[in-house]
Amino acid sequence: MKKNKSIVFVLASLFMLTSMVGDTTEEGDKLIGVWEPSNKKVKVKIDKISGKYYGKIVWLREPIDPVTGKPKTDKNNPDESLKDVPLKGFRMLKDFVYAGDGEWNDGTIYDPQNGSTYSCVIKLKDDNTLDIRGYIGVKTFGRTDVWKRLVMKKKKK
Amino acid sequence: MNLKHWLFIFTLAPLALLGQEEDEINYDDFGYADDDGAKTFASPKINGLSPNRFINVAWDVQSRYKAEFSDRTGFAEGEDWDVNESANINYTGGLRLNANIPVVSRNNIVWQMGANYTNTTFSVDEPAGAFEPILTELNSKSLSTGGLFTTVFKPLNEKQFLIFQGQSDYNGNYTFSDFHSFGLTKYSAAVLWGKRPHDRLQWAIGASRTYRAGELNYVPIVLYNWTGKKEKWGTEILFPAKAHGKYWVNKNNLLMFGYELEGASYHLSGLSFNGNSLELRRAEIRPRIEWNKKLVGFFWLNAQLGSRLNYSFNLDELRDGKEFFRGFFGDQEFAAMSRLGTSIYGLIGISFVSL
Amino acid sequence: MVKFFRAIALIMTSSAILVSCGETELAAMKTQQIKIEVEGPLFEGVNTGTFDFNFQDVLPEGKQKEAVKEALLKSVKIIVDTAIFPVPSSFTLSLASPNTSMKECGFLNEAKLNSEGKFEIKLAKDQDFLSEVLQDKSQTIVIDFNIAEDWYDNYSIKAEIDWEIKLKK
Repeated sequence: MKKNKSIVFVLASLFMLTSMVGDTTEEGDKLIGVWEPSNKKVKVKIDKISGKYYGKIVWLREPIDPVTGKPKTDKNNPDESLKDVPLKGFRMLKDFVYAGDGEWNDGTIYDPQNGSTYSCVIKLKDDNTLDIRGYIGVKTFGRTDVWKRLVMKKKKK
Repeated sequence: MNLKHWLFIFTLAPLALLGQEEDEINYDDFGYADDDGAKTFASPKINGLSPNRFINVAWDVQSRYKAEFSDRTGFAEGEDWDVNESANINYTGGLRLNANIPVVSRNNIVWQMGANYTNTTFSVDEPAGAFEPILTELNSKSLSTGGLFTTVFKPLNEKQFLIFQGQSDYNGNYTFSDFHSFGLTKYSAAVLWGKRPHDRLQWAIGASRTYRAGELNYVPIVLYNWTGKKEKWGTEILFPAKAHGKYWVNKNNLLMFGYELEGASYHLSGLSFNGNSLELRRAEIRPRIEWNKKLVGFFWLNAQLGSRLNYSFNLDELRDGKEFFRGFFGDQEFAAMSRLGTSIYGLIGISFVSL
Repeated sequence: MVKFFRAIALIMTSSAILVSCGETELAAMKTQQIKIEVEGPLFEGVNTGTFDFNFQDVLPEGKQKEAVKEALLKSVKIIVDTAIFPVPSSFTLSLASPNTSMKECGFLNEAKLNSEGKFEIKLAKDQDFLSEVLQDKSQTIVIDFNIAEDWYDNYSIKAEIDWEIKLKK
């Protein structure tokens, strides 16, 4: 009995320890999830790939291009040969690295409405709110938007 | 409970939960983790808007034209006057600098501060000294405008917004070593309320206190920025100050065609009337075509070619240095009247922009 | 997090052809074959598979990454066993490395099988960025694919990637 208790204690301690280590090393993973910008036009899923964070469009409020009648593509891409890349699945947030203190930097944000890529920094305001600032050169020349975390509310039937 | 159970609880159970979380995902079914989403505000931009210039450096030049002035004895609007001074102006042009820096730029408010400086040098063909004091004054000292301005864009909700703009300008034929009284600073302001029904249209109505017509005026203003469905054609109108049609040749080339009313009131230091300061009420209408071309990154070239039509180049007396409002119906006399011939003008500039 | 998507194997069919062109460089054609096992369940919509590798392993023997003068993707074909797995309706191919930005290299919209039963990716014309990515310490191939239904099991993707590499002699 005493032996069992010791094992339980050791395992519990190990678990707590690994959890604590996990809390600090995986702090950056708080960015992972599904987020919605304040304009509510898209939903963006942020994943981690090879240690950096990326966000792709997984949902569009208006998925069909009113001009072509087909699913929207990245028609403003500066590379002509990539203008037909579907917007659904397009990675608009790229290369974010966790810098500590609830901030991710070194990344870029792409605006599909004009085909421009901006430098970007992300700040976690609270567990479910991000301040995302896209800027040109220095942070002064930028704009901050508020993104909110989304979670699955109901299961598909 | 044996060791296997504990191992399951500590290691596999959380993974099993994660697996469940990803099961059968449909993004339509996603809702806010908090009670509400972020509030949606009207964006200050629409699709296909011309590049917003943060910093602009440009050079403006006009072709030769004839200038005529009356003497400085006072004239009512529409009164006949004799030409007292007359000469060709061989060169009119100068540098234009503009910086428009965001101070606060969030989805719920945009506040920008800016500064501008423009200089216009006149090269008059043989002005006759004391016999032609206005032309001599223009020939010897260039006209400068130095201004500070602020713009606030405040969206009220997803569709409606307010714009406030305030500006102070220090205008005259001063140099940096010979400043005039700052008491002659001109103040302008504009307030607009508007709507942004969709991503390709914004309109607003408002009122402004402005020197665009040379002298102080209070005018209603209408903003109408629209881009067509294919995002090729559109309009950018801030009536009466400017109105343009536009055509996006491609994502890197924008053609605009329309007009702009440019103007300011300049203090002329070397001239006086009845012992009072004289102000040159300069305003010109510039019908033009403009080409905006992306150079590299966020640097764009802008080139304008058009006609410069004189709207006002008359002189006003400021009694005791005090500004006055004549408007469209006032009967205050002008100190001196003028006529300027029409000229061709060109402008070339480089801007650091945001799209 | 792409913890669900694991690259499980790299098979090099090293069909390397070295061609001398001038005294300063060599052109090499290399075919890289990769297999990505995406861990299920997958959901309707866009899913992602990633494959980490070192471009050094793609180069002809004895050649170092630093010697790469120019690299081009000449063709990328994706193979999905459509008898087993849901048929993707589109693909996007991207390339990333630790010290460069992820770039889209190609895509396939309204995906249809070619005569070989493979999905042939339309590649970006502008590939100037590749040299910098490939000279980094490691590389990641990212394949996004859109499926029209949920899939509860693992999902397997293979790809044949033809590289044209110009090397300093």
